[in-house]
Amino acid sequence: MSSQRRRKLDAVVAQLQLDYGPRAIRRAGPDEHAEVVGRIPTTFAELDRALGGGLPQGRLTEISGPATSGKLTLAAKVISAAHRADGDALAAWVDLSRTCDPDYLDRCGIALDRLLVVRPASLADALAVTLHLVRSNALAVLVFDRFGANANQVRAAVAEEDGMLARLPQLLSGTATAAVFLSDPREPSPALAHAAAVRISISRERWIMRDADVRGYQSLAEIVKNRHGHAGVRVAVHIIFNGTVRGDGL
Amino acid sequence: MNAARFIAYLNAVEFGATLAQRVDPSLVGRPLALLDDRGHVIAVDVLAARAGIAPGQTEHQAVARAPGVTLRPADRYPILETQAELMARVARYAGRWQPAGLGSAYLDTEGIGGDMLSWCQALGGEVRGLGMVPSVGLAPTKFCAAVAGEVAGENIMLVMTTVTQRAFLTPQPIGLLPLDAAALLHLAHLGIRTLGQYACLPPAGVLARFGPPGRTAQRWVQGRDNRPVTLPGEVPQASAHLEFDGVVADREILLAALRREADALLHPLHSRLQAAGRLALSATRGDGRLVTASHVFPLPTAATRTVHLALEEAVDRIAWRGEGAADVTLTLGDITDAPVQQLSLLDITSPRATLAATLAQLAARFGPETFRMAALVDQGNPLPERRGSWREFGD
Repeated sequence: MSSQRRRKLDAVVAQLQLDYGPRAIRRAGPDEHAEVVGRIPTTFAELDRALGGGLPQGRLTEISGPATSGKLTLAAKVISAAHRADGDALAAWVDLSRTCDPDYLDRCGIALDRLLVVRPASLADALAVTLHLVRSNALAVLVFDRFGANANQVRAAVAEEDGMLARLPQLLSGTATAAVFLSDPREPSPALAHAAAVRISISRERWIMRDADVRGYQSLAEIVKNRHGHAGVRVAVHIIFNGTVRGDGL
Repeated sequence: MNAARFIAYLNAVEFGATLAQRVDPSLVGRPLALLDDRGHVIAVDVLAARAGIAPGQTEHQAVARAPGVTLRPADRYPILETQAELMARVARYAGRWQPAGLGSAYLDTEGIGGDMLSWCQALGGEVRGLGMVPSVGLAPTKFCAAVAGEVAGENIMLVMTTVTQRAFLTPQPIGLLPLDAAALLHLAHLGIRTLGQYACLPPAGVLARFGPPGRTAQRWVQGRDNRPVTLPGEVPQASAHLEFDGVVADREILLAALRREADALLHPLHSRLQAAGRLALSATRGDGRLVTASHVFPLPTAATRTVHLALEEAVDRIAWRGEGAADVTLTLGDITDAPVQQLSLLDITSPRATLAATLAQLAARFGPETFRMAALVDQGNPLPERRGSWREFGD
């Protein structure tokens, strides 16, 4: 590009930034105005590297995958990392399907005395409680487990869920809460996909065996969407059962 | 549109902030809060209001909500002079008028003939004459007029019949109720978001949960607000007189007696959603001399703690040197309607206390069994479902 053209372009860019803010238009490459977003590590080193440090605080993350793919373990490890990092950190688990297992969560390293388990009667109640909990700004991590929820219930409350998901990113942005939604790829929610800053699709690849015993499994996590980093990255995560549930790093 | 008896609410939008920005143009475009001599916010601009700063908060609370807020002492700007000028202009438009805080007033339209819209436009013109933006609400009751004035933004809102009043109030947000922040937060947790929903609640339930102030507010929302517009000279006051058997020289004993009397005076104000603008104290010394002290609240208040602090200050100001008092008279003056408080969700407390407070209120709506904490009771049990159990949050 000739120097005259570049000067003209610089002038136009400067004027647009003056009128509409520095984030309205910018050059590709490192962004000097990028928002600083706090992260909570997932404890899976490869995945954390791909995500830029972990799941973002004040943002919504969707983890989608079939049963026994590792999404619940991933969410539990995020809570355990938050509990390890801050002795006062609180977390909430919205257990719509009522399948939350304290024993497994304890094995994942979660401090159970700092975990609130919410068991609402309906999806509508779960959504309302989630908004109130986020608004309180008292939580480090909130996990909303909509996997396994009654499909009829989900379809009946789809408009309500869309409305709530439209409000959630704005509410979250004023807090330090990392909201994690666990979803079923067979019941996709376009509103959730739109509202999420990060979307991770996870699926089990193979069982890890020792002799004839199952010792864990390997899953493939793909970062489908990432507003704060690179998307399209695939990493393998190894989940080992050995009395405690271990990620790669812990 | 012909005149009947209505109440108009006139408000100069961002009254204090506009005056400060006029004196110091560098304050434009930044969140701005003006402080009284005790460090409390008395006026904010729209940017500070958006960040959650509201009149009545302390300097520390304001900074916690918006770290970049510009704080300035209010006495640096001609706020009281302009307020007096505005009230002098307002007085020309109605026989009965009442100040309603900085830059706003109620006017009774009784006896005013002609077109009410033109009258409201002329009234707004007086605010424009002072270089500020007016908003005017006209309605059959004071509460509805104030809500109309707030909702009108920079315009005029006319609510001309009791039927339209109900229709107008129904979708308005509960944040417009003059209840304290805790009550508004409680309502939000119960899922009550509009004045219409609040109006439909069972009166006994409202009384049980929010006390007499909540019931008074509900009556207003239902259109049953018969508060008159009172001229500044007619503003009621409440007083209590204490006579002692001998001369009381102990400051703490005197303060304890005065606090008890102040609480008794504040209780009916709470119930009627009113607040006092001034506290006056007069004491007769042992030698028969009369000494007086008074405290003017920048924002009218009925908060017990604020009044107690003002009481202590007044007692100290009458130069208490162990000389004692034979009798004391405590007066709460300039009684007016309590200002609307802004709902703030950013109280500075520990996460666990915040969560406990939130859950206490959510439990009333969703049931206490919805919120549990997990516990391990028998980790060695071969059956996974017997290893864990549930308990109440905070146990």
